[in-house]
Amino acid sequence: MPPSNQSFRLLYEQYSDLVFNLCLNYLQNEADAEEVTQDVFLKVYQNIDHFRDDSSLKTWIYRIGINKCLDFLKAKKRRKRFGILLPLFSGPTSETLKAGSDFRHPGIQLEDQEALQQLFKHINDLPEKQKSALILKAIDGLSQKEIAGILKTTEKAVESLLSRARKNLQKKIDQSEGKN
Amino acid sequence: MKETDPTNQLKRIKKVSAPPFLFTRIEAKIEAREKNRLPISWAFGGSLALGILLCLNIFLIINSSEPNHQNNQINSVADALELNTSNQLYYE
Repeated sequence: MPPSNQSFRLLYEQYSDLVFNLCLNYLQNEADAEEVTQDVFLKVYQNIDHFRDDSSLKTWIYRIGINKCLDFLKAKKRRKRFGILLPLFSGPTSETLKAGSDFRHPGIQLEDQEALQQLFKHINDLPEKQKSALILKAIDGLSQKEIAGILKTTEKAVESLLSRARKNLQKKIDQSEGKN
Repeated sequence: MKETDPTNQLKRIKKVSAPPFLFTRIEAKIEAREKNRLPISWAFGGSLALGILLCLNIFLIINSSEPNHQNNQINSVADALELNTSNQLYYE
């Protein structure tokens, strides 16, 4: 049974900022983050019955958020792949696609914009799990135990994921600096 | 000085609040989904009708494979009257 309006509103008020910031850090676009946040809460509303007490509500919502962001990025990639064909069938949609792919993160100050945009470009090239672990640790400041719960893995595995993510990121930064 | 951990830069990202209109949009989406959902009675009625149709088809297929009694009776009458039941008109 779906939750009542009142309880759903309370749940939204408690977790909306968390979900919105997670989506922003994952997608680096305000409009995309708004869209995915809506999808996350829609999923929470429909599946609250399936939530089991073996994980905390926060962990469960984080998990839904990450999965929705990954789905969104996959769909975006698919649309980009067929981007050449899109204008032939529907003109205006290709413009909205371009508008949605800009780097627009309201949490980043203007002076950091360029450096962080470059850094996120490298983070986006990391494997999914490494990217998730890095965002949850470095931006959201979660503990390794919490990250392990969200990614359904062990603390040791998270430690290894983070170490590999940092190494890969440094390698990508060095490569890009070497090219310039 | 160059930072040793590249992720240190990420700590400068500030937390932002979710837009105030987002909840209204979510509510609208939920409402739209509820409206578009097929009522249980309709879904039950549809599946029942399909089930009946399927049973009827199976029944007809099973019955059509049984030997035709009416044809057998006609053949026995034709045999009794020594009528030719074949389509061959000329005997060699």
